[in-house]
Amino acid sequence: MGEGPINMLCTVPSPPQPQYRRMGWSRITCSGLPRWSNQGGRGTWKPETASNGAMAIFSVYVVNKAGGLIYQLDNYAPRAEAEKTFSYPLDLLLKLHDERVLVAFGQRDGIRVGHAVLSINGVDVNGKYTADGKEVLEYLGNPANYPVSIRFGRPRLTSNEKLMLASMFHSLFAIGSQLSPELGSSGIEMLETDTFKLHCFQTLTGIKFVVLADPRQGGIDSLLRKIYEIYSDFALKNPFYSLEMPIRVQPRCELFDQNLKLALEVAEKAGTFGPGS
Amino acid sequence: SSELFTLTYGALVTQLCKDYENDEDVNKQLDRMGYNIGVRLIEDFLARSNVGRCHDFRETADVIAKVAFKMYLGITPSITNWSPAGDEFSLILENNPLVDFVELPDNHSSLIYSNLLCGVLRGALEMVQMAVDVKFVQDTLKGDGVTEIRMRFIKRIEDNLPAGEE
Repeated sequence: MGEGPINMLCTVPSPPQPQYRRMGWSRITCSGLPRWSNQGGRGTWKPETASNGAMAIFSVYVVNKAGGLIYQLDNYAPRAEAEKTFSYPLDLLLKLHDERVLVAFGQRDGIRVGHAVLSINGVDVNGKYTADGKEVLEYLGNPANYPVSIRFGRPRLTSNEKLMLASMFHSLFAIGSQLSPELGSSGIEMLETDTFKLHCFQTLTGIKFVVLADPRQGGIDSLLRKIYEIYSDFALKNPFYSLEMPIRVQPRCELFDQNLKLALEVAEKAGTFGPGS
Repeated sequence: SSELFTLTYGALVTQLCKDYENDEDVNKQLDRMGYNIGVRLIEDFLARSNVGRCHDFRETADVIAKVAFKMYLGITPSITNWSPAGDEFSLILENNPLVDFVELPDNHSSLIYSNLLCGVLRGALEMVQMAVDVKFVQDTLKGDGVTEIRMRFIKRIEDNLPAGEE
């Protein structure tokens, strides 16, 4: 993941990119009748299937006016994990970082630098301790415990980390608008990397909707507007929901969750929304 | 249909009258309830109407009368009586859907029946960083020919501005 050329997304009809087979362009209008671009009738938009299929929108974050995270949704398929049996001595260099045991050196066979130890001998580890409370590094330093089967993978973000990242983004967003040489610039609207694109939409009232998606995924602008509508419907119109508070927790806004997931599916399939849908 | 809406609003006001017994308190409650509605309604309005930020009070007045009132109450009030400094104007409502079929009894002469609207406008504008004062100056329920709402711009709310709005 991440090797190779950057795929630039193409929206509105444009010549087919070498990276995807684009046979037509579907657009869902408010009347419900799809319109197809002329490729001899029906066509579908097929991105080059990556190893994890159509999961093109990775996560959604909603940040309130003060920079606090009020909603978060992860939509990606589980990351590649590698499980291997090792004998003493371990040829990977492990280190303790942020309460996790990470690979510092010794990339091979799908195990990369930065991957965390997820489980030992099939039993999930708990941060830097194994399930029975022993320290992982100690355990792996003892030749008596070998051969041992360790599963490595990309560590997931904990919810505290997500909270912190959201407030950090909130501040960076503000700095973005101040750094700009032009007066009256907005904050960060898009951040692009090799493997994902971050889109941010700030409403006039200061709420930010952030979507992380595949760089090739189109229609994120309309998805952001759609999420705004869903927020104003299912969160705000729920009288028991207090403004600026986390959406999922208390009181429960299940409908917001469900409708958001639906919107993500539609966006992934269709590529874009029609007006007023 | 709007009958249910009118009846619901009527039931709300009469219940408040029973609970508070004092017209002034009822007016305050209506304003507070309107405020709570306004702070939520503004997001729905912005999400659906896609209007951008208004740069002066005149633009604000236009958007309120032509887009917001139309969207939520189905009426388009007219904008008149601009103050010389451009910070006050009146909205003239020919008909007010809240007061269809309503007649104000004599013992409630200082009740501002539609005061909810004032709260809604105040709450909504506060969320887009505008502090305003909204009050009824004429009311068909009290015998006037039209319903007139006077809106006065107090100041721009500078704390907690969303980033990028100067």
